[in-house]
Amino acid sequence: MGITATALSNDANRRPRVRGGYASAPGLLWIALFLVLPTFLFLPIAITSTNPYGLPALPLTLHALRAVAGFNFLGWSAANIQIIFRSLWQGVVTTIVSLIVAYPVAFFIAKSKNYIKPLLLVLIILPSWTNQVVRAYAWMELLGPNAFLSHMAVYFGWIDQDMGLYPSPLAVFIGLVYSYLPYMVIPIFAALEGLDWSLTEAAADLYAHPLRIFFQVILPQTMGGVLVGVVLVLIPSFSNYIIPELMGGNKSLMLGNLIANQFSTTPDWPYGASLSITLIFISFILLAGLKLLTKFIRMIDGPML
Amino acid sequence: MLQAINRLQASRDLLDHAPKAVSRQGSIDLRNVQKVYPNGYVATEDVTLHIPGGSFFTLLGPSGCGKTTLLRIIAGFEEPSAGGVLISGRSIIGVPAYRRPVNTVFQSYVLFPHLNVYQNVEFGLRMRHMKATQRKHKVTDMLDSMQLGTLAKHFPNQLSGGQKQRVALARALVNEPELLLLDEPLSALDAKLRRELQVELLRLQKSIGTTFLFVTHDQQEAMIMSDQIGIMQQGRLQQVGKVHEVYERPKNIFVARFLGLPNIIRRESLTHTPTLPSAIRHITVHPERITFSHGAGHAAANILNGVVRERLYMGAHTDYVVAVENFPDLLVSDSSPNHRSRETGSGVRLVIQASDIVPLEG
Repeated sequence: MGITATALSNDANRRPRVRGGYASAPGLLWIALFLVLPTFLFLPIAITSTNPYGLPALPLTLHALRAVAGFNFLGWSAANIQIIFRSLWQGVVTTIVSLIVAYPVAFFIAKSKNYIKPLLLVLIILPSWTNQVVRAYAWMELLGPNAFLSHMAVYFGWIDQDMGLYPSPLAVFIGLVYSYLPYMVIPIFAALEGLDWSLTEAAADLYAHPLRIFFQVILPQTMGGVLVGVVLVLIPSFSNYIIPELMGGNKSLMLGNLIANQFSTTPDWPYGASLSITLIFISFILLAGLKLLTKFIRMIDGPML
Repeated sequence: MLQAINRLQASRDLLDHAPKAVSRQGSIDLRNVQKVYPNGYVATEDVTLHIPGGSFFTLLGPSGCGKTTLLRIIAGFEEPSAGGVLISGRSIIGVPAYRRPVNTVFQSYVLFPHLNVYQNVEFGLRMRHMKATQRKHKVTDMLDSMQLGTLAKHFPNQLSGGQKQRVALARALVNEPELLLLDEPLSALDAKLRRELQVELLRLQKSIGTTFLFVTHDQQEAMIMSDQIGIMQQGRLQQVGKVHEVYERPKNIFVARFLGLPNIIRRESLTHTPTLPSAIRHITVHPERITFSHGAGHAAANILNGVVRERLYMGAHTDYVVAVENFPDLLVSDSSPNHRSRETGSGVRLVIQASDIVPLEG
């Protein structure tokens, strides 16, 4: 029966997919030219040697890739592994906090009167119309040593006198969650919009109190939207470099910043290319993992990976 | 099938004589229940009703008459604006839906799409923290008795309408509620399946003895299944009683029309009537009570001369639409041996006995 159901859904999907193929050709071409092609250019660059200016040169070598794994002329060091795990941690924490903040917001919007929903959605999306750098500077002001929030933190003894909340790892997380929150709110909102709310009545009728209705009925039904949100937040916040650069105070290097350095301050293109390949590879594994997760969650309606 | 219904009728008669203490379990008392929505719409207006425990009660009425609102008030999805609601003698005003000893079979079933048949049926027991081994036992028994055993691993989107209906019923009944609410549960099914499930439901109700409160707009369905019916219109209960009582003695024009009694006649049109209160302006006569006259000699009866306008052959009987001067067209139902014999256009004499006249209010 499971096979039949899959076959049916495949059947239903086939026709629109073909038609969509022609319509999306310009977009695909654009992506192929300016995203996929340059990304594949990293592959040959990663196996070149470095000239004195940090640019790729012959002969071909695995030196840069070995350097990513931590081998350099001083022997093996765990620094890069630490950076990778620190970046993953940054992504995971940002995602979890975003989820916890975004779900109630999405729920509130979905439960609002129909005429006010578009306004609330615009309010959620509006900040992302501003450049991420500008928003980071705004947060730097808000979290700076002379700002109200820092004074409050000093008063409660969370930080030392004359210190600000910025720069710190906390400031990085605040900045990241703030940046990516809309990408979590919107898919969850879409999933909630597709929810059959009479299911909550059926659950209440079957002795489920409000909290259990949420965890047994609403959350499983909107898991597709949650996973879309997780993908949209986890992968960019794992590789983000602007926010850690501006708000982290150079204390802890992230993968994104390390890559940026190889193309700017201390050029080393082959090393940068190798790091980029590593980052893309990890992102791909994350995506595949989340895609696999959707197979375990039975979704009927709503957004889906 | 008729035999089955007769047998059920017999067991129903037994239930009517059940001792009072027994019938308290699962009884419903509505006391002056009123529901006014914030926008001023009055869904129910001053409904008072007692439904004895263990009975099959049907709320019957056109859509928008307030019957579903009453059901939702009893289930706990809505609070009444005024009035009292008691289940098994205990007030449930302010008790949230998840603490009420009531389960509902919804019109569109509302099965949990992310759970399979087994998990759907298990849901209520799980929410009440029943032990896993006991739960498994109960769910398996319920699935077997509903002939759903082979579908246990199926998901709702893989089921037919009739199967979904049975799952919805199993999901509610496995909790052994004091009261089962059914909100037009058969309306989405085709006629044949519907007839089968009506008999199945009725048999089930008699065997487990749970109070069933059934909501429908189908008067035939209501008459087949119910011990008692309550007919609603515009938020008010028009008449409550045993099915045959309501059918034989409809209280007012609305009830008569809704039960498919077409012969609404002005009182002064007939010369021989029983003594009626002066407020009564209309009367009705059941189509099967009007007879064709074969000669003279009906002393205390109304004799009407008319012409057969239409002949509707129904197999077991024939319905004639008869035009009579100064009367609305009368429906006469003939089930005598030669019931098909009258031709369209032929003149007939109709006899209406004074004792067959039912007064109608309004």
